[in-house]
Amino acid sequence: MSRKRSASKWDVVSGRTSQQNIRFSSALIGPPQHARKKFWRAVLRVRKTHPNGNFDLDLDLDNITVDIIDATPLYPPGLAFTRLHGCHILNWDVQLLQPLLPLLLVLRKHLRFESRYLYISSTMQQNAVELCTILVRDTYGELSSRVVAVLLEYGRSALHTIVRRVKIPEKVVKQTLVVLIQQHLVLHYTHDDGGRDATYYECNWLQIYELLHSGRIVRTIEERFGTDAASVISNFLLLGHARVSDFISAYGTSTKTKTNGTLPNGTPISASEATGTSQITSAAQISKHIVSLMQEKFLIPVQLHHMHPTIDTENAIRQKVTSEQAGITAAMQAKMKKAIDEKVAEKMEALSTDLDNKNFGLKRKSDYQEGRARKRAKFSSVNETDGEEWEIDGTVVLRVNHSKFLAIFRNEELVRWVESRIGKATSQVYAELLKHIEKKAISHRTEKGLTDVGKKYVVSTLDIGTTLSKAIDLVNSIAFGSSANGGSKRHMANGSHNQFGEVGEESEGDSDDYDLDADLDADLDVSMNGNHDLSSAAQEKKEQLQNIRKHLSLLAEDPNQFVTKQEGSMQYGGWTVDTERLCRLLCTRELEQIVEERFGGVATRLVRIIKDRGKMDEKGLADTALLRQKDIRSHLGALHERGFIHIQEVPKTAERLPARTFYFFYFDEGMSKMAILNDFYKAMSRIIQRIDYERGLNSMILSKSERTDVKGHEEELLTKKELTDLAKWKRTEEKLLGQLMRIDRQVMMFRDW
Amino acid sequence: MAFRGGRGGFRGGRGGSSNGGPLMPREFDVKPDFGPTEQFPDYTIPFQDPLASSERIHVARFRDHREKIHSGPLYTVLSKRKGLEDPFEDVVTYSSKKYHRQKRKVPKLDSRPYVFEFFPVELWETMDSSYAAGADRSVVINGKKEKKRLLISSLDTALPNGGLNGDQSDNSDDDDDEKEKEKKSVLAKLMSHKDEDDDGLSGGDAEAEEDDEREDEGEEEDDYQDDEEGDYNAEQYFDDGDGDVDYGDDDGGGGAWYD
Repeated sequence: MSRKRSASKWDVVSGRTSQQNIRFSSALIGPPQHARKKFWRAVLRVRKTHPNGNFDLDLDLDNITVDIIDATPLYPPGLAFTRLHGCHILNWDVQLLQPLLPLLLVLRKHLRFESRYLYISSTMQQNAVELCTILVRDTYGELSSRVVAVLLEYGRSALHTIVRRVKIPEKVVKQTLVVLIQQHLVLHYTHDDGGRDATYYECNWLQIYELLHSGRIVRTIEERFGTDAASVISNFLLLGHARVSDFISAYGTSTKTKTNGTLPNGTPISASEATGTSQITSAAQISKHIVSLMQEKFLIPVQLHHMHPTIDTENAIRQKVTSEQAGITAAMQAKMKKAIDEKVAEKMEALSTDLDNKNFGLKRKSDYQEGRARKRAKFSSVNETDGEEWEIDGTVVLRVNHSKFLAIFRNEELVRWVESRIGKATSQVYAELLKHIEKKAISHRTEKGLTDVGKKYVVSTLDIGTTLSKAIDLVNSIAFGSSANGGSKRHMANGSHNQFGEVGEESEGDSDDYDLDADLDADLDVSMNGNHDLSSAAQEKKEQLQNIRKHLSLLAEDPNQFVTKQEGSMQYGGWTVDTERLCRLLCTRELEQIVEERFGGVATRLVRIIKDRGKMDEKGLADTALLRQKDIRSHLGALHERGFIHIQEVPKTAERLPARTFYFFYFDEGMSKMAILNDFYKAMSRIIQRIDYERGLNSMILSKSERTDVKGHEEELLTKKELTDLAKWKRTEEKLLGQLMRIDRQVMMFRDW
Repeated sequence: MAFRGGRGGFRGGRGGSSNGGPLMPREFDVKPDFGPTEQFPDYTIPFQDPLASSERIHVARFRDHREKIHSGPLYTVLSKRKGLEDPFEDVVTYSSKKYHRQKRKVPKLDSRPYVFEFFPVELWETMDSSYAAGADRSVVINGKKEKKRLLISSLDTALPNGGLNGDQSDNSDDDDDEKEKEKKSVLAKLMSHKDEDDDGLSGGDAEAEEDDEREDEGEEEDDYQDDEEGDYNAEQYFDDGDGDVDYGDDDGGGGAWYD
């Protein structure tokens, strides 16, 4: 692969005078002079600040080509130059791209490039390319994977370019593209390119990665909503996106077919073959499932801009905004730029806020059209009882919302962490808390990770109390009486007294937000005013809430601060979770564990010191670590080699002699993460390849067992040996896939959360 | 252009010899070991912790899902290049190939309705062959809508080992899985039961998805259907040369299709 890539590099460099380039350069009149100057300044700056400083850049502004004359030998295989529309696209490893990023941004800004002229594919790594290609081959077959491979390697391409590169007839490429677009694996955008439309395709590699999550997604829904809803989700995953009316009618038919029992051609199908969907009998039932899945944002309506690359959407908006301010001179435009930027950001935001509305894509059932304003989100168990019913707008097109699932997976991870730190019961309380937050917060996937601003949402203890399973033993899971716990216990007692004092003032204010609050406030008021006249239920409730609060206090007092207490806002306290911070901690912890496992304790110590102190040379490091320089050297070397720490050279003299140079070690979390992720991707590709290999070893028995006459009658038709082989193969694959899922957990941790 | 000269040239000359930059000052005492490395160095092989029950369920669902895609209309397997088939294995005989899962060379697209506005215009014709560029779309869609159904498959909700966290995954258990799997993919079952004779029988009922497939073959004269004929027509396995014939007009060329 690397050979191929470097070949493409030289193609590009030598192909600068190709027909396409000339056509392109004449189409675009040269950029203003000041932009040129600014660009060179940027080049200089990057050269100065880049720790390796090994590359030179040559920008030929007349042709708009960016050539890397001399790429550092450190990263040769990641280089791939791609040409698009007469312009060279840089498609590198992130490690190389990172120092260049400001430069490329400058380019885009000052030369007013549109993304199609200079396009930065975000954080795509070479190993990720391989993984995605393999994953698509594993899931959608070879044809799709070939097209995906070309799109990933060369970046955004037009149809004819793909056809040329993939060496498959155009007809077939088109069919494959339909498949990929339907599954949201490929995005497309049609530009008006000088009077005629030009469509470009681009691979949505994060979506490809999501193929790995299908099993877990189905399982999550199964656990929460039962098998019927899970089957709905599973079908949406299979279909990519689908119009609701089509979906429901398809469900209707498949059940009808089963009751008929025969197909037109006379092939009988027994009812047993058709189990599964048979539980869902009516369209009403399916739509009920869909509504509840939509309300919780597991399914979201697809909008046109979901099918386009974000950058194109942004460009289109920018163009529109700019054209609205026509008649402004170039100088003025520069001034207006900031205003335009703001406006564009605002509009981009607006695109996603549609989805934030809980009932987006739903309409109120006809008997409830009293024109009440948008319903305030109520997420406690009140939901069903508050009498409002929603039905789906049949024309809406739905798809699975993957970022919602990412948030759920993240929460599961946090719960697991709590369980290992504090205990089972507490983790269950925590899970409940997170569930409440998750229902309120809508997660968006951004480049930085998952944003769902968990901090914003306050969950009251009462809320948790209403939904928490009664089976959890809250009382006996906390040990009392020891001196260590005494302090916190007393603290809690104090706290509760205060809370009770506030009940009177608080209750009115709260009742808007939480209907249940009002009920319970009433209950509790009764229980407090009418002294010994407590109804046992209220008493029980109170105790439960207090116990829950104890668990939550445990969480809050943990050094990791799993929850943050919001004082005074609600009775029994309100709680928020700073998921972003927690995920950072989680990440750091995992990173250190990886370092520990790979390089041992000393290396971990060094990494932590470097992280703590910033840039340090070897001597200072040895002093701080209380180790001899000789001892730490090998560790530092190994760490540097694997990309966990980095070196900056600072020459004492102008000659840059190695002996007269300081070498400062520093830790860059982003780059370390990238290095690890790269390893993960590679490991994952290897696992899938290994599965392929194992499948090849067992191909005889597998093809036999897949025969339609054998399937389902294995025991009668296969020999004893074949059966054991089959079972063995299944166990092997399960193990490998299990490992794949485990790595996937870490990938999500480092990349998505 | 100022950068082109000095530094770039120097670096270029050095080529790949720089190995991550000089890590240590010269006078240091590290003595590189140039001796041969051990042939089998000590290596502690990491062992996998046994999978938790939840993990096993995730894996089971994942496999199930993948299986569904594989038996669906979108999964493609490229056939072997002409002349490279195994003369013993790849020849169609009644016993070996008839019951085997059919392999698709191209995805089957016309069996379901699409949301056209989400696709680029240049692909519309591919998605629906009766869609001619510039024609009135609504007519076409309304005309077709009745016949096309989404493929709906049911869910396999079996738990591996009954959801228990055990390690005794014996044969019988796996067979259970297998049975479940078979139940759930009605589609796969039905699809592979097809033989040529059925083609003519297709009624207009459009009840089930597989019905559609056959139906479409009959009444639409879109050319890419030819590619798929091979999937159903046992005769064509012998002269698996449809690639050359069909794709002759494309610049990609038939031969390149396979490499």
